Amino acid sequence: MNGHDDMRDNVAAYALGVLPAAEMAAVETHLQTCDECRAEYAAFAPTVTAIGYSAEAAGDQLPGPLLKARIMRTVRAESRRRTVVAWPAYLAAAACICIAAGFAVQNGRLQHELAIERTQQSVALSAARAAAVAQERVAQANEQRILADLTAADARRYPFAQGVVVTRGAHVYVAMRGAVQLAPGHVYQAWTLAKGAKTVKPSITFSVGNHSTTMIEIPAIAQSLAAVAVSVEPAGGSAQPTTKPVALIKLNS
Amino acid sequence: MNERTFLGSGANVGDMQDASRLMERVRGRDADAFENLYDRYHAMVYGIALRVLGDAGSADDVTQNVFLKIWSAPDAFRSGNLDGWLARVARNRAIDVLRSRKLRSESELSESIPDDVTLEQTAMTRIDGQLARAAMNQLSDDQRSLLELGFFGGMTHDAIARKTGIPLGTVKTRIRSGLRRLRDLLDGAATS
Repeated sequence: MNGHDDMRDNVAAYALGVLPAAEMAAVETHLQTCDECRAEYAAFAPTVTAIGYSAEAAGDQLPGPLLKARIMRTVRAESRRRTVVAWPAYLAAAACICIAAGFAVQNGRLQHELAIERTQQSVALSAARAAAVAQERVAQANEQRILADLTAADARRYPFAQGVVVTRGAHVYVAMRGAVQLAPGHVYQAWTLAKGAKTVKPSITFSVGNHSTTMIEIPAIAQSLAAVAVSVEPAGGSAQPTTKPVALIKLNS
Repeated sequence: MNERTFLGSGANVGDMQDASRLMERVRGRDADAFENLYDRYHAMVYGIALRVLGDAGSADDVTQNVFLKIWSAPDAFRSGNLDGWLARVARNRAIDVLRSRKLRSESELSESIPDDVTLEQTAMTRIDGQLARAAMNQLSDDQRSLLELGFFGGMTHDAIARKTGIPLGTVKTRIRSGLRRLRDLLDGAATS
């Protein structure tokens, strides 16, 4: 086999992504000057894409809707911050205030800032954005409800080392601050213990960022619960806790 | 999705323009366009991650990482074949996770395929998993296993040679012949 045949084999290996790093520069340089190899590489590139597509998930292999919901929640929250409203920041602020020493919730200040935001929002709404805003109103209403719950005088607050559990009416929230950001492949998972039950049930999984506050709503009826717990689990969550809970909070609702 | 066909160089300008328009809207912080992008490509991205890593939780994490990266840094995709770029990014991020697990020696794991490969811009593909799997199944066992070890196993060609006991020169030749055969099968499927 001559030198150019060797190089053509290396071009194929480069296209597939199996070429050792030390050999990549030579191939990249050769591709700049050899029309024949450049044409072959250009033909191999979509072929390699097809190998990727051969693993395309289908049917019950597809990821669940929660993955999309998690991604889109981040995207839409960030998109809203860049357009007309800043509710997620206020929710974070509310959660921070809930966690603060004594949980002296500064309702007055929050409500004042909310009023300012509403005013700015009404000014900023243009006709062109009306349709998009209408779609987001549902999310905003939900966020307003969470904010109202977190800051309400009649909300019940159950502090633990890394945050607080808040219940109001039927709603249950967990706010965490300063929790350890987990290594890839691990998540925090919430657990609920129903009144009279002997074992916990798995609830939602979530991640936290370093030095940030994370607030989640537990999908359960507060009055039906005896306790809420949080543990570290493998990504995707577990059916039963596999580690000692980082928080175990008894509720008195 | 079943209407997709594999097309060679320059054959599907409309798709590329469509993908470019979608990415242009994502650059403009259009969340609906991003959702459209997710709906179109999440099965491929997730499938690659699942195949590389072998567990659904890690595949979830890689898929989330890939799509949020697109949202936060959409300029990483400049132009060209969005399918190919996403497949490379998904494979590279999954192999990064594999590398972080250190289940195999670093030297056995290949470098990432460059995310940004301008040469590919002249070649476009519209394809789905069914067509790709059918073509892969028509390869010889040797060709298919080498291509899969390389792409999903993230192994260098010499690591593949050590693992399979096949001489390195033969591995390299079979990879090239396998890619050529796969390209021909896909082109044949597109024109039949």
